[in-house]
Amino acid sequence: MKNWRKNWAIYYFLLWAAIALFAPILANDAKQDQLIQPLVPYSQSSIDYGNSNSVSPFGPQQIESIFYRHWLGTDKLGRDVLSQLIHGSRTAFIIGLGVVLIAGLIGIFLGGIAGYFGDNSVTLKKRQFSAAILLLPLYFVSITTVIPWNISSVGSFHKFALLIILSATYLFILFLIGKTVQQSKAKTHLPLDMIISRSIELIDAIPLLFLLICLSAITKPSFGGTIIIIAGVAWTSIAKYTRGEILKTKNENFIQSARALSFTDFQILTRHILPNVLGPVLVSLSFGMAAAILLEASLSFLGMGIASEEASWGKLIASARNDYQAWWLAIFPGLAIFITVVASNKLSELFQNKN
Amino acid sequence: MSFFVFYIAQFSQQDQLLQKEENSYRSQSSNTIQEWEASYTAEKKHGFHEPSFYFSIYRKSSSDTLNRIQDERIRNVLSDLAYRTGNWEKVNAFYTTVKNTLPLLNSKKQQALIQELRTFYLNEGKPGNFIQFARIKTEFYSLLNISNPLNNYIPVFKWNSFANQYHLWLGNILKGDFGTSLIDSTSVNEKINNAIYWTVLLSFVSLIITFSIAIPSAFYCSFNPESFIAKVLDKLFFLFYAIPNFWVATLLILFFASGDYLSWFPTYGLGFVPDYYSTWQIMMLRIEHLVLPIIALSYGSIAFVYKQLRKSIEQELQKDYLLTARAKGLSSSTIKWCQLFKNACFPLITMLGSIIPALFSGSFIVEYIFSIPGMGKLTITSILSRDFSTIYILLLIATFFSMLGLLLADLLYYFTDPRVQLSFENKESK
Repeated sequence: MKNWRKNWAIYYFLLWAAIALFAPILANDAKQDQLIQPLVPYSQSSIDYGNSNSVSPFGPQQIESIFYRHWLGTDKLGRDVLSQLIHGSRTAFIIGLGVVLIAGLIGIFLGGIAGYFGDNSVTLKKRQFSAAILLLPLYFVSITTVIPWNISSVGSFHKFALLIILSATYLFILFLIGKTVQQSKAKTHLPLDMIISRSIELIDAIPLLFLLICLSAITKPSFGGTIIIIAGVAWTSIAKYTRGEILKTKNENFIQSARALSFTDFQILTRHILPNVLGPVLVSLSFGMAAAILLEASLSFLGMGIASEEASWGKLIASARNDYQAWWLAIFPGLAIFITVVASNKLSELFQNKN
Repeated sequence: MSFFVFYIAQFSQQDQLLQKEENSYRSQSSNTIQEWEASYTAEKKHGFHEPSFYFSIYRKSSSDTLNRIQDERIRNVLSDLAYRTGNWEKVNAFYTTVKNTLPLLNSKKQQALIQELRTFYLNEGKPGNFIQFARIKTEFYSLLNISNPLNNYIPVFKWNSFANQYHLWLGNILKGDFGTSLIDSTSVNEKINNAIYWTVLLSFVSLIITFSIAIPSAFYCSFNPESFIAKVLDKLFFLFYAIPNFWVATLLILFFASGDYLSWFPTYGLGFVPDYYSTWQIMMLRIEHLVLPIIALSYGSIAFVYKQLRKSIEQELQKDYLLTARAKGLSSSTIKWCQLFKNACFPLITMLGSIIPALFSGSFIVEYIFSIPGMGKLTITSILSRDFSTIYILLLIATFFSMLGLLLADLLYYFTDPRVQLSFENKESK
């Protein structure tokens, strides 16, 4: 605890994780015979009719005892703000963590491949390559028409089994073609870096929030959907960062010597390069966390994203728009978002200084 | 490369659009004969009865004309049946019988019947109400006896020539006709024309404010990093960078406009202009209404530009050419303003490319909160009302503008920085 000024972000994250984890215990509708009495005796959606119409945290409240006080006031319907804040932190935590996990996996994987293999490392026999290109439309046609995606009476297991069978057939044909050609035949390079970099540019070209709003308009509001949508847009920055770091590390001497010792590409990537680029990648991950929390809050603010019965910081701020005298509806969730985002940025600074 | 990306992006966008537009169109089921007739003429007009692309690929057991059946549930059950029997002709004949027995006026009954059929063959349960129609019953049972699963695995390819929805849609867009809104059937062109003025005004003013605040303060703070002002600005802009703009906008309204605390500014909108107002009065009214939105829009980009500039100036300060210039005997202000300034400002060009779309998307929330009838507000309202024909035109425009921004940045780089070369001149550089 000595240098808390330096490490406060870490402590904050631990606290945040604890609150998110124990939110249902910290704030719920308390019953008399309940074993663990909650800190806040209101759940996120329980309505206190005596204190509806936005009761101020400092003003008089109609309560039985101090235990039932609304410490941060109530909203128009009479729901406790503190309880919503606690449950909102759970939402933010799930979204932030989920996005970082999924976007991190996709971003590190694709960025790693693009950075490590570049345009020239992966070679294919020329005939194999042209066969792959020629068969690709056929493959797409077969997975879109042969698999009954739109037939609800067919189970999803059946569909995915068909998908796997078709993909395996495609790869097997390519493999067979590769076998028939002699080793000495002409080879081409698979421009992995170009393909991945161009797709990143493609996604980055569309304004982020616009894309997110359009996507969330199509999908049903849910946690999983929101996480996937945000991660589907957020992975590009992580991939770019990873790619850049790997490009830097790739030509260092210890990688050269590892290659000279005939380690496989997989071993070099996972054992030698990834541990070395992990620090900088963590920086981009914590930035991604901040971005995800902000995006989720913006989406909830606009009334999209997660389901309507879940609490969210963005929704609380949105409710402040409907009654302007209730400053507590805007200040507290805003502060929560703000501190979390600053803490994420601080965390990335910590990671940066470690390297 | 930018052109290449642009091309592909446009294509993927438009393809998506078609799908969504179709879906939203289909989901409106029609109950009375008038509604049906209206939707049918609309369908003809939009060309929805045409296949969606230049060619269609479908299962042999299915059909590419399924999209002409408007009701989603009926469509699903029919494609289910087609998959089960593997014979689209028979299913289609059966549907014709259903349609003839229960004519259009009773499309509710049609739906109910179809629903019963579905539960019947899914659960293998007891026959329900539909048994009262003897003809349907016999045909349905004979349908269930057919089984031709092989047809499910044979793809059929059909060339549709130019009479397809995509061709129609793309042609209209190239002609400058963006179609009509699905909600209030006004033209999308008109909507965009009304909206774009305010967005451009707002973005442009905020861009000017951003640069005129961020650039001088970044240079001042980099040259005097120990001064009090530099320390304060560093902290302030770090905070600005992390504050979400919808929060700031809400707080601004709360404390400066709502009337409960300070009511210096109007809450939202652009104000009502009476006839007798002079130009000056109109301008003052507009400015009064736009102060808060512009603050909410600018503070974040000020922090962003400041941060980037600080970084680039710090990098430039360590380079050797400054030492050379000093050794030549140039005064420090000449070095700063004639040599360093130009090099440090190169990141601004990149930012210009990214700020154009950022201002476009950033103004969503600000326009929504202050309810300024710009592009952002238009987008949000059309998304909330599921007006897909407008949404995807807007998405197309947004993509186009960000592509334009990227291209502009690349070209500016090429013309201002002699170190940058185009890829066909030198393969090594980007």
